[in-house]
Amino acid sequence: MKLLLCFILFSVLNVSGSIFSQSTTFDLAVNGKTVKEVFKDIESQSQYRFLYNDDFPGLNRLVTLSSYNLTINEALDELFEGANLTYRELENNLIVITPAELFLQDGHKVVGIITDAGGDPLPGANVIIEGTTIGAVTNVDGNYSIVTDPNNTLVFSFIGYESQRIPINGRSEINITLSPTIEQLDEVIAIGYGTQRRRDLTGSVIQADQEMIQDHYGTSVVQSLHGTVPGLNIGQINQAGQEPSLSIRGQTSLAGVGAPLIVVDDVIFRGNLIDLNPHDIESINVLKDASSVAIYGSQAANGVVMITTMRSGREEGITLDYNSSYSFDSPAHSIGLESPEEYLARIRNYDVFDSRTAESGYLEPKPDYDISQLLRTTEQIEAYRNNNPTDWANVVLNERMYSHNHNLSFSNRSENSRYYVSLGYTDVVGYAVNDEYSRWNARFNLDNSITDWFDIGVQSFMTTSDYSGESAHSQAYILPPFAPAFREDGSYTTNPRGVGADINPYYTVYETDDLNKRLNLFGNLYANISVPFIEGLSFRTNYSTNYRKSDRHYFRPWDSNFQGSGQKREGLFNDWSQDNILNYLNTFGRVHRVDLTLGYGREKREYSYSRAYSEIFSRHELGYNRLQIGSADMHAVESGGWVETSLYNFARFFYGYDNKYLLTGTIRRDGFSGFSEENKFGLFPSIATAWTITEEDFMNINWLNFLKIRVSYGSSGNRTIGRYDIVAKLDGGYRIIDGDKRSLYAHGITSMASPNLKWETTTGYNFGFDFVLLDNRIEGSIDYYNNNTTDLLYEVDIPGISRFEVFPDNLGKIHNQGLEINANSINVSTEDFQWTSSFTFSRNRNELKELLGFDTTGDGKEDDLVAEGLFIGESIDAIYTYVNTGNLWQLDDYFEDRIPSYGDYGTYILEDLNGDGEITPDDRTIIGYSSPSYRFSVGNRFKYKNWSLYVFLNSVQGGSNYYLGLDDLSAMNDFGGTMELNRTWATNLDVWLPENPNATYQRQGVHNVPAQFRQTRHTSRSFIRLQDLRLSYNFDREFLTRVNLNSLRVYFHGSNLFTWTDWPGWDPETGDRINMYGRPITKSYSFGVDIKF
Amino acid sequence: MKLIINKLLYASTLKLRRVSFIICLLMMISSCDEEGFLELKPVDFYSADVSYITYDHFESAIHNLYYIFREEFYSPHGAVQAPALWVAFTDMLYYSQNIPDDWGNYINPYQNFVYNSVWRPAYHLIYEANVIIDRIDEEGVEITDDQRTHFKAEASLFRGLSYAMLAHLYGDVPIILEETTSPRRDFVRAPVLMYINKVLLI
Repeated sequence: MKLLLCFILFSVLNVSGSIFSQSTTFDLAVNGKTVKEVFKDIESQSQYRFLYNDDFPGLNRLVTLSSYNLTINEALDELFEGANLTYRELENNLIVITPAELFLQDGHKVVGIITDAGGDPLPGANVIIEGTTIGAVTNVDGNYSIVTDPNNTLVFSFIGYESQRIPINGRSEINITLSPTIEQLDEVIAIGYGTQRRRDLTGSVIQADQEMIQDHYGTSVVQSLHGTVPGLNIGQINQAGQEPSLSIRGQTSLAGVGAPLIVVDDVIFRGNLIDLNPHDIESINVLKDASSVAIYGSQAANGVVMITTMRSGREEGITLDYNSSYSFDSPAHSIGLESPEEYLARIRNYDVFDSRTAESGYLEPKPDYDISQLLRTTEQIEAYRNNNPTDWANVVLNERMYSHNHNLSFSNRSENSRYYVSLGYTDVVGYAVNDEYSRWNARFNLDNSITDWFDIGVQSFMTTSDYSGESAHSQAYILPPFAPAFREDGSYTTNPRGVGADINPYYTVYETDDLNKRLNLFGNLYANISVPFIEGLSFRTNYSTNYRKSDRHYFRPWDSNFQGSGQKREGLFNDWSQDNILNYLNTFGRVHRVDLTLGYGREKREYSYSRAYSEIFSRHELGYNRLQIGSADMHAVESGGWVETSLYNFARFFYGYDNKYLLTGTIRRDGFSGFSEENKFGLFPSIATAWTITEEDFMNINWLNFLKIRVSYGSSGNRTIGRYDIVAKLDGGYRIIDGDKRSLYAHGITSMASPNLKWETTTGYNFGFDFVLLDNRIEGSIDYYNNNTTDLLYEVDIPGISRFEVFPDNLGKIHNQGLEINANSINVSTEDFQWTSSFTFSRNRNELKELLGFDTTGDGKEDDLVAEGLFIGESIDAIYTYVNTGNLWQLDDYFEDRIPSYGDYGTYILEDLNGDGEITPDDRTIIGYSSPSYRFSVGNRFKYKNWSLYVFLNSVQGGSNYYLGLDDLSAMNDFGGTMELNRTWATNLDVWLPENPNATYQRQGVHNVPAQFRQTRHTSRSFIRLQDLRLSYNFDREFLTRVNLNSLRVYFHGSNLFTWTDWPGWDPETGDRINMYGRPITKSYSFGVDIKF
Repeated sequence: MKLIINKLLYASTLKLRRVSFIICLLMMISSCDEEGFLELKPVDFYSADVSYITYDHFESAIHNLYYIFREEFYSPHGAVQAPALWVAFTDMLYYSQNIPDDWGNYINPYQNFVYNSVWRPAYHLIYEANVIIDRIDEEGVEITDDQRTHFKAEASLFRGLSYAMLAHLYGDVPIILEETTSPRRDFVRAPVLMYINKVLLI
């Protein structure tokens, strides 16, 4: 320890850098002082400093001297006379004391240089012969020299760096590069109701890339993590303000919730994740395996995402941070609309028997064919005759998509308190008119130490968001080009399409008064008590409350035959939760680390809504704010709500021996009001162990800096059942009238009680490695997991004789297994240039093991549920259908009557799998799976001086028969109807025509085949996407001091810039095929600035 | 000096006591009646348990029989006018809304038209009637014996009517005379005569 202090001292001196004159003289008059005390005397008289190891013999020897006017050399020579010590003078007035034998001994001399990872010499680093106290210290150039036996082993060490053990093996020069201590391993991360050092983790917990979070790209917190955490699957978004879908590892439920549990600042978060401001986020951890999530019991089977918000700026003192960005957006890929000319050409080909001549083999058009007979209304025919098409895309789609956001935060960190205040504004204008989102965020976080053992604090935020406006993007495709928008007098047409009650989008999009606003208020108060007198014992209690309000009002003047309709709907969620956590953390005898956590808490959630509705308004100006003036017999009111309560207790015990052997055990008991009386409480145990092999003495492999093996086993639940499914429900109303025309109330039971309903249970094990390799240049982890989910909530079909046709029950079993790899590397690290890479890979396979358990076919195997698409022993994402040969029936087949009843000319030929000469439902088979085969991502970050470039590629792959998506025109086809004539199709489609016999897609106007024979076509959705490209520039400190700034950064961020895929639809990741209702994802070029004052 | 230390020690003991007190208090607040806290509280619907007790409750349940009969067999979406089936008293089916159609087209594995028109609604009525007949005899029901007899008779009428319809169309059908409270798949057809004895003649 003293030695360390000396080194620190040394480094301080090193900075001062002045040379003390050699000619300075001392007076040494001591009587019975130790050598060390004499050093101090010299240090007080001069700028010389001494560096020595306390263990050196002879330092405590008492000396008596009385000499005057000595130079430093003379003084030391006299001092060391007779002692087995010698000294060496370095620059900066540093004098290193070493045992004399080192320099006197005959023996093998080893020299070398010690440098850091960047190649800079490390002065003052220690070289010690293993098993002795004998050693040497490097000089300012990092050089050392030591004389020892050639069979000895040298230990190289320096404060803040990892020690290295190198056997000499007869070498005379050993150059060493020391790497910084892996501080990450000592970093404390949130694991649910507490924290743990990374090196102590026994489960699969991944911390999201800090730099990605600090770049806070995207409207939602998790968007910046898209693809960066293996096993955390984040969905693409294609609407303004949309919440990306989230899932962790595989699908564990057929009917239940698939999203992970979100925990923000240790409180379960029930709102929309998009209400959190990405700028307020400090870190995000993902708990994946059954053991680490077990602490959240019956809600954790889908994994847990732990989000921690900013406590104060990262620096001490006051920080004011302003961040702003503006993004130019456009559709990454759009399904183009056909032009009016293409439209006319297409509908002309709709019925080739009618529009073409038989003599030509239906290749030549009939000259006198009148296309106007295919148009639906006289207005359309007129617009066609006048060649006056309407560009509907222009009406319903935005010309310019953009988003911008501004964030201002103010934080202060002082001795006893720290706080963080922020205000944020985000505005997004999306693909379609009224596809808009704006949001205001405000946050206040405070932590205050009242005494050294008592802390209180608060985390609070308010978010208002606005989704108002009715959009109708699909109308661009639904409306044909010759459907006129305006009448001759300039007023809007009411029903340009001439179908049903379709209203002109000029009315629906522009004249609807639509309000869709949300408010989220959250506050969490906590107190933390470090119990005095008992080292390591602390108690935390917190109370959080959350109000979420959502308003959905509209007034549609065009509805009810232009007499108007309006609604006012308000919903309010109110949740509170209370947690009490007792924690004991202590280390005994330096090696026994114990961490015990006990918790008890409860939660209550309430929801209520009311809706008022009216129709037929003689005046429209007041809209939804005065519904009572609507026609009295059109008034409608509705209200509802629910309440649920839950409570938990848990205990978690961690024991670590010498950082080598780690053990965590947790048990959680969960009670939920929605569980039946028989199953009111669930118990979720887990156990995990880990072994840090590199802490073992026998494990001394140079290239392996850290290796930990983890094994865990545990179970967790998915609440998933409805709050009230366990009771028989009743519904009633005034349903009949008696002889006096009085309304009579009638009621009856509408659902059967399911008194045994409970949670779904996922039990499984996880086997993983954490490793750090090659002088800390590569770190990462590999995890394999194997989970079984039992007691699946499933609506079992029951005979209608029972009145009810389905019954919710817990049965069946799904198996999930998968592999996840995560690796980060430092490829180049010099002063000016750094290049780091990250790589993730994940793969999951699921299998439905059992479900209803019936075997009516008597084949000894459980029956498949064909109608539901569920097959025992197969993936739940199996696609079961006919095999499409990809060939089409031609006109010749039609005339020669070769087409079976399922088909028609220009339709796909199906394969007769069982070879019985006809296509029957038995010819169906599992042709593939809709789920991905594997996902991977590659990120590269380059830093050159002040420039930083980040390139991120994300990919989801399906291999040969995974990740298939439906790719046919069935969404645009009308199957025997004539709606294709009355729609705008996508442009450039490879559709069957007599002159295009080998088309990709079936002809338009495919005949009405019974649904069970419908021909489908599937295409792989595999893609690789250049998801993020970020270039940023940090201004020089020199410049910043001149303009009085702390930091200034400007950046460009491009997202979804390019996608390599064979998928022809809107987007492979959203899975939108070529249809009228899809939306593109956004490609954006965003420019921003980040200023810290 | 000693005095000061003592004072400090005393003060911290006090604090410790207070802290322990707070901890105990919080634990106490938290660990109150668990069952009570987790009680299921429906707020926007009535549960069946509290809805078959008073005269009004049973009257409303009887009203529902009329409502279902009208809704399932006579309303526009109860497409088939079922009474035509049993009035004919044969296995001959016809569609009384005068839409030319061959019912044979609907008897295949992909259509549930007949099932939805007769079988399901008839058993729906039977279920509702069974609920009344079963629950009216339970303890705690607050009605007079005359009212009980009256409601039972009215419910039995709808139940008998439904079985008659089923028997004329299908012959032997499963006979359920109690409220189904748990899912079952073990129904067996009972001879037509049994329905006459059990259902019509009670």
